[in-house]
Amino acid sequence: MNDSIPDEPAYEPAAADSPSPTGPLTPADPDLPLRVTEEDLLPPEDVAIDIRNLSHRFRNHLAVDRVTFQVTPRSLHGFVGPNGAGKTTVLKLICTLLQPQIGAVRVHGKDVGRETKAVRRQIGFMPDHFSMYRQMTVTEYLDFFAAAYGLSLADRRRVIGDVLALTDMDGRRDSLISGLSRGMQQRVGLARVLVNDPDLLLLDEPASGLDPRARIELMEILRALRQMGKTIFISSHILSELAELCDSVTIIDRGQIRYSGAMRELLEHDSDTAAFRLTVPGEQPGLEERLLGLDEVSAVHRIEDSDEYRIECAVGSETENRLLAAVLRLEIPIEGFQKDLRHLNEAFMDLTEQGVR
Amino acid sequence: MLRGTLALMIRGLRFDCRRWQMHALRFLLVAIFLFILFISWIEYVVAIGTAPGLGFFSYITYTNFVFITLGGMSFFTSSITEEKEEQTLGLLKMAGVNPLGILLGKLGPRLANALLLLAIQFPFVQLAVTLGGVHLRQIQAVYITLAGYIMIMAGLGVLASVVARRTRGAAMIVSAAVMLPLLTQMVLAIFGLSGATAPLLANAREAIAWISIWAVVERLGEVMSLGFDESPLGVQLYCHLGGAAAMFITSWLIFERCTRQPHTAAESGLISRKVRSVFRMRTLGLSILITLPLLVIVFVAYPYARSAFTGFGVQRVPTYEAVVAVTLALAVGLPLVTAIVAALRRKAVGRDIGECWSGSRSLIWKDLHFVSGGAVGLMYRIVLYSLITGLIAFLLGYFGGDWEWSVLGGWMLGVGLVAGTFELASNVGRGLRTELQWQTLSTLALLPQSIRSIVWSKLLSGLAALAPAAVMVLFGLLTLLEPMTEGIADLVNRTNGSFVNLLELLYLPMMITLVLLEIAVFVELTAFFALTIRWGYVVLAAVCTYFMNSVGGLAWSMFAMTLSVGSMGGGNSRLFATLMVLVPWIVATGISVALVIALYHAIESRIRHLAGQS
Repeated sequence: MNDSIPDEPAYEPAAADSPSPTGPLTPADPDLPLRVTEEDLLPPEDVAIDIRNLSHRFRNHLAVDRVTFQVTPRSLHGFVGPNGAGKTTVLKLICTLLQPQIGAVRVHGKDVGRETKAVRRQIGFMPDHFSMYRQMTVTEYLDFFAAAYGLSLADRRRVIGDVLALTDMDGRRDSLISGLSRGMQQRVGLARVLVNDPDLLLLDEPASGLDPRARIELMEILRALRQMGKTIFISSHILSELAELCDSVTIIDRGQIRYSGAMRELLEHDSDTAAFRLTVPGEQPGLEERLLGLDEVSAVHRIEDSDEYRIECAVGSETENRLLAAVLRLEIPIEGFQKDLRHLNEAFMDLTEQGVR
Repeated sequence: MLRGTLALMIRGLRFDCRRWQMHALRFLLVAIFLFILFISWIEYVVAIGTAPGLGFFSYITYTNFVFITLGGMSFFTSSITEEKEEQTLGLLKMAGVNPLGILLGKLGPRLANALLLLAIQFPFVQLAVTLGGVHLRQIQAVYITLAGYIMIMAGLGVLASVVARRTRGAAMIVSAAVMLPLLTQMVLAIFGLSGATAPLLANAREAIAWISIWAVVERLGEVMSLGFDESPLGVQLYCHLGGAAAMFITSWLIFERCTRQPHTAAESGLISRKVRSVFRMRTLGLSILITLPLLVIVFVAYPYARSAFTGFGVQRVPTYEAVVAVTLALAVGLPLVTAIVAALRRKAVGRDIGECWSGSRSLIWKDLHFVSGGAVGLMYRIVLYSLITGLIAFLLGYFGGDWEWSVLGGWMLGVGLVAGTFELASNVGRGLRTELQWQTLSTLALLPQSIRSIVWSKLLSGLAALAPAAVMVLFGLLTLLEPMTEGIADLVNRTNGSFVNLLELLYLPMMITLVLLEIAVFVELTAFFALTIRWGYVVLAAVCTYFMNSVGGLAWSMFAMTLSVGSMGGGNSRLFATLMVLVPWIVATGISVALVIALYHAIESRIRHLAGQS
């Protein structure tokens, strides 16, 4: 019964023009704003998740279509997309629940198809549903998983104490899981994925159904985990929180990657003009005209119901510094000056298509 | 109300129509009948049976009876509990469907399906008339009787489903309701025969016979007897229809009361957390060690105590009474001793159920404690098997004349094997079903253990929970050891190089191999069906195993028949004997082994598929 997991390859790493498992793949859209090219990719050993040319088909439905992206170690990487975009399929392919049909998935350099057992020891996957033994107490539940990972009794006691402290569930260690609130169950789920001290956490919609307080607290825990050196790959629909939390993001739609890269790069306006936001204390009569009079400024809009002004100017070298110097020369009181970033929602809407698959 | 009821009924019927399993079941049923019909026709052609039509019809009738009894325990019992388990009963109530509407809407499609399964047989069964030995009136009477039986099982099932929190509990209530009248009748019969006959007892026995669902057995015997020429509508039908209506009305009346408090998963478990935190495995083990010497004392001291109280001579005290005393002492004493030991140990060890076993054994630990009931579940089983042993000993001692340990051992072996097999299948099936219900299969599949290891852990945890049944079987084997050794020694002496005698000697191990393989197929079928259908997986596996057995048995007898006809022409008797024993065994073993391997891979692949889906 202690037989090892078969190590035979479940697929052949494919070339870019490989056919799909059961039929021809649709040609990749050349206009897709895919930021990742083969030249950009790092060696697989240097990345936490390395996905190359991954395709997966369920009968007649091509769920994932030639997906390529990487996640750097110790980063918090967001994974967003509309319903049915293929997020959960990609997550399941990374966490070995599905075997890649075409393409390659590597976790810390290990191939998920060939080195399944080793990959499983390095990851912690939290599905989008409450996957729990509700008749167990919190301690029994965590003890079972820690024991299943082969931890010794002394290690289990220590690890359970640590993960309960991290998730702030120490006071509920003897509570039945079924008696916990949704937010607490989510914490227990997070504690469960941490018992084997994985390097990579894969979280599928961890904040769905949680109240605002529970969501904020969960995000705090995720920040703490990143500081502890974990790589976190998080799929979520709550874009505002992802924008704040994540270093990098991948947007997927209809099985294809629309964007993969740094979060800041995505949120910056991708055009010939740069935009900045100037905050001043209270009403400043004539300020809009004065700002427009500056050489660097091409347009100024006052943000409705606020003391903020959106200033647009041509992109050039040192744009930000030159504009700030020009504004300071106007000798107006300034409370804030920052680059005006798009909201992730806007980027998401721009990059994804209408309708639900 | 009508709209809600209709909506529920239509939903249920549509759901069943979309499920391939229901169509497969009907197809399987028709295939069984056609096969049996074919065998009966062969018997008719070669003129072996005196009334092949009656033989065919009897087989169909009693098969139906067994299936309705087994199916009734799972098919109707989940009608309301499945809504409770999925916590959707409140939604139905909020949608304005009243209790009567819910009951009709949930029970209606199931009843329609069950009656439909019976109805599709009717055209085929009428062919029995052409084979001879049975009249159309008998067929009509039997099917009306069975329809009445379905109705009372439906009434009982829905009542249990309203009362119980989970399907398992409802099935246990129905099982008890089926068995209790039989046991009561037995006990009353014992008192009646012992000279304590009183009009009250006789009337009680009569009343139980009428309201009992076992009345259907008497009615079927009556209808199948030669010269039956009465109305197809017997008293049994009216009693069962009345009983079914009464139970349905009771379900309606108590519905609100029983479903007012939505239950949680924790409450609905087999064993509550408070109980399982007190009764631990080590506590139970210690209690058993304390109880065993007490049982020996009871066995030795009983004749003296009985003699002291009744004035009987010690030698005249029947052995079976001492056995019954021991089983009762175990059934009552073990829980008491365990409670005392638990109370004494509680301060020392706290309230946890103990640390999980490490590595792949952790999966066994989980299922043993949270699916099979852990220490408390084991104690329940010890008490149950002890009571069953006591009952067997009582019936054997009271009716059987001279007391023989080997007869008790034979019964214990048989009952232990059958109960243990069903328990093992049920534990393994429930272990897998629970993972599906709790959506934990994907989490489990991600542990650094293979899917194969998960499958084995389910089997091993089921086996660990079988300890009481295993003790029963072991005790049976021990009492049978002497006659078996004598029989084997006799056969060895008689062998003297004779090939036929050698085959006779091999017959027992060959049969044991087949029985073990059949148990393996049954358990694997249950596991596979648990991953495929929502309820009734044990029953469906039992039906399939029964069908395979029937086909195998019939094929075997046909083969033997052909060989017998061949040997009449004067052939090599040694060759015929060899062929008659070895060929069917090799074929049956080969098929069983192939099935065991195929099912094992099917289960593995199904788990992998479901883990990827969830």
